[in-house]
Amino acid sequence: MVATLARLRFALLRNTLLREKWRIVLLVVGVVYGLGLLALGVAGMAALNVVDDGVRSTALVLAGSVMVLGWAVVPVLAFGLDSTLDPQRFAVYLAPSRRFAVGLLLAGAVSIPGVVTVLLSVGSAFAWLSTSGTATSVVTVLVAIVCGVLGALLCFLLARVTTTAASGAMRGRRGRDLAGLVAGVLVLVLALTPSFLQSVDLGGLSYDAVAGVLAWTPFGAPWAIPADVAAGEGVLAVARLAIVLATIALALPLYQRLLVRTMTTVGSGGPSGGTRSTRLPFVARLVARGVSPGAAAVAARSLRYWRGDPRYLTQALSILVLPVLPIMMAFLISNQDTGLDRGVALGWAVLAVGPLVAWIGAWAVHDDVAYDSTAFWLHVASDVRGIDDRWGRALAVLIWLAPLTVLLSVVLPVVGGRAELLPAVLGLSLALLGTGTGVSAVFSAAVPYPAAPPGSNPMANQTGAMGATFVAQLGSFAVLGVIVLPTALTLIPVFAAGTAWAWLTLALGAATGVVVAFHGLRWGGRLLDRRAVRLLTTIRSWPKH
Amino acid sequence: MDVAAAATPDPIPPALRTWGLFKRFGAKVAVQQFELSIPAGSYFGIVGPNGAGKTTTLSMATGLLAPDAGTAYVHGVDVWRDPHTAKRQLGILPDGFRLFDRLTGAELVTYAGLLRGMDPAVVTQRTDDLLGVLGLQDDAGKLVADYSAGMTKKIGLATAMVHAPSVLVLDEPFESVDPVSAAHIRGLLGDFVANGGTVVLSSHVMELVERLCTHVAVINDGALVASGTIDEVGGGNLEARFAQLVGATEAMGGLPWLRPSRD
Repeated sequence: MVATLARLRFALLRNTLLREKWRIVLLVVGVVYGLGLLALGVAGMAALNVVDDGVRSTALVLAGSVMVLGWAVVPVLAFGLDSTLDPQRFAVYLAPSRRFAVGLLLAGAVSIPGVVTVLLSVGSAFAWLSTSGTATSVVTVLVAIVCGVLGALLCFLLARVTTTAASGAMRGRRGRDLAGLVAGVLVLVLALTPSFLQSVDLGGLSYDAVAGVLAWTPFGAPWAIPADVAAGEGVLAVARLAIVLATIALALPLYQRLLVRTMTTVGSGGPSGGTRSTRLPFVARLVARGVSPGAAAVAARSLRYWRGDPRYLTQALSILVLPVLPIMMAFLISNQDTGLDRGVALGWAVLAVGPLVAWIGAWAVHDDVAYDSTAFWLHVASDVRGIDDRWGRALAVLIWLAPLTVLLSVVLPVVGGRAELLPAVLGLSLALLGTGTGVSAVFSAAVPYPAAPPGSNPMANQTGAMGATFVAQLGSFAVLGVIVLPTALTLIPVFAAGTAWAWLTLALGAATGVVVAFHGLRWGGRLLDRRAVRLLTTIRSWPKH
Repeated sequence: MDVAAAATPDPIPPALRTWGLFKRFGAKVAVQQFELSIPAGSYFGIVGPNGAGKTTTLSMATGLLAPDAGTAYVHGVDVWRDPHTAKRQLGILPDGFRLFDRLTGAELVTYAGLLRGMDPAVVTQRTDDLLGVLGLQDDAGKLVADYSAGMTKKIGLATAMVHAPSVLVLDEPFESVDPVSAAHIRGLLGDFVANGGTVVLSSHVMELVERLCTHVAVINDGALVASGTIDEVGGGNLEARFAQLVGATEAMGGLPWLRPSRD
């Protein structure tokens, strides 16, 4: 069964690669990444030979726990990316059985992360080589190998338990939405964690203490046993081994029962979603203020998507989270070594938040039509005026981004004690907001590139049409930078000559923003009038759209 | 419905006429030049085997896919020269395209109406009417993403009708629709044609086309094989005539090993 399933995986991989050649690049990148991780791991194990047993154990337990936890969580969040071992797909051909369960479990290891996990787990025995020579040390290395095998097994088993348990929920829209959102948040958190750990003093919380607790959980226990053996703590070793074995003994039947349930039920089982609004928001108010019904409708529809679609929600989250970066940077560079005062550094850092929010937020919609996917046909069939389409999408962003930008650009300089720079910050923010809006309006009509299709994992990599992706992302960024450059240059006299020059930044920034937004929306609208049908055909050619 | 009047040559232009439409995808010719004339007030079925070019033809005729050559006319207005006027008279339900399914059913129909530039108050009224007639009023506040296949077809039909078009072009409107929903849709379409509207639908269920439609066209391999009233084309048995037209061979006989196993 294992061999059959592994062959199936290889056959599917080969056929995918033959059909979509660019995936070979991804595969190579994956292999290189895996090898790099492996080399790093081996080097780490070797290095652990020269430190004392306590540090070695702590490092192994922490790293091992992260790995086991990762296997338990990541496959659930990565739903839809690789469904070759989805038990539901096999439900038509065979009944759930013990052989099939074990086959799926072990076939899961036949992948780049699987192989790397096995090698690293078993390879953790390397860390105990330096103590060899005595009888205890030989035993320690042997125990480490066995525990490595058990640890790897635990990884694969927990991955199957969590993915199988979630598969029912993943059949429903709400489950997928939630998982996609959590995945997006997790990626953001992971991206920020390293700088966070560096900048925040954890106080009394030591790595040893964390590892000490983890060593008594299924996540850390397998990696703590060799240290117990090396220290001659036979009772501890047996107790931890019992934890590992008990976890496996409990998880295995649980996994089998979940597998049976998954393969013998259909539908998501969850609630299908309650009753919501039957009216588009803001339409009446926008129309009353002179916005055409078409533009008002597009704005209302976009707002609904910003509020309810995980793909938009993760973008909105990143708009709110990424400005934390300058504040973290301020924490990082202000310490005794650099001699920078933390208060001063923070005062400067908060000035960047407003412009950053404006920049990321306005640029976020430079591929907005791709998010509509083929539903864009409704705009084509209704012969929506291009300018209405552009205006509506821009309004849906500006309605919340403009007040947020202005608020951050006004309040933060005052709070940070640099009120005299307020006009300069506001000017730069307005330039970025308006220019981003205009540039996005042109690029999303001119160079659409594949985005995650509706209802799919927002973290799914859309790597088709790499040329368009490259041109659109780099191009829109470069154009935005060039247009904002004059406004940014007025900051030189602000700092060199005097803060009275900040009013020039405000005037130029506001003018740049308004003019570029206005002309960008008009130009984007004309492009759309000409190209809407071609755009729809392009979107239809993307896989899964 | 006045079948005779619709069939006789008429000074008023046909509701939909394709002329010389040609489309190639790579090396494969999907649609070859042919002229298809759909009289105003007819209930017109387009049939053909899978991959015959029905969807491609309808997409090009309704302005969703640019043809390599040729064009289409809606009541005499060129879809590709004057899309603004032509598309106002068209209501379409394409197959294989998504809907804005993160909107609720009522929101989606409202959206379609507003995109057409209609007055918000009128759109609200018509949305309620359409949802009521189609039996969707209880699901008006549910996300379209949570709709069943039949409900999705019905909400698609509502978005096609909200601006009161004169020609409805529906690609596979009855596919995966349950009998109750199908009855709702049939009732609405019958009423539309009875009041002078034109319905063009594609299907591969001959029996359905024979029962509903006044006219039928048969497409095979991207070319028009036959076109006319149901009687002209089908001669009483559309299914048999269809098989003959598309060159389907007789069933080859059974497989000797395909017998119910007795163990």
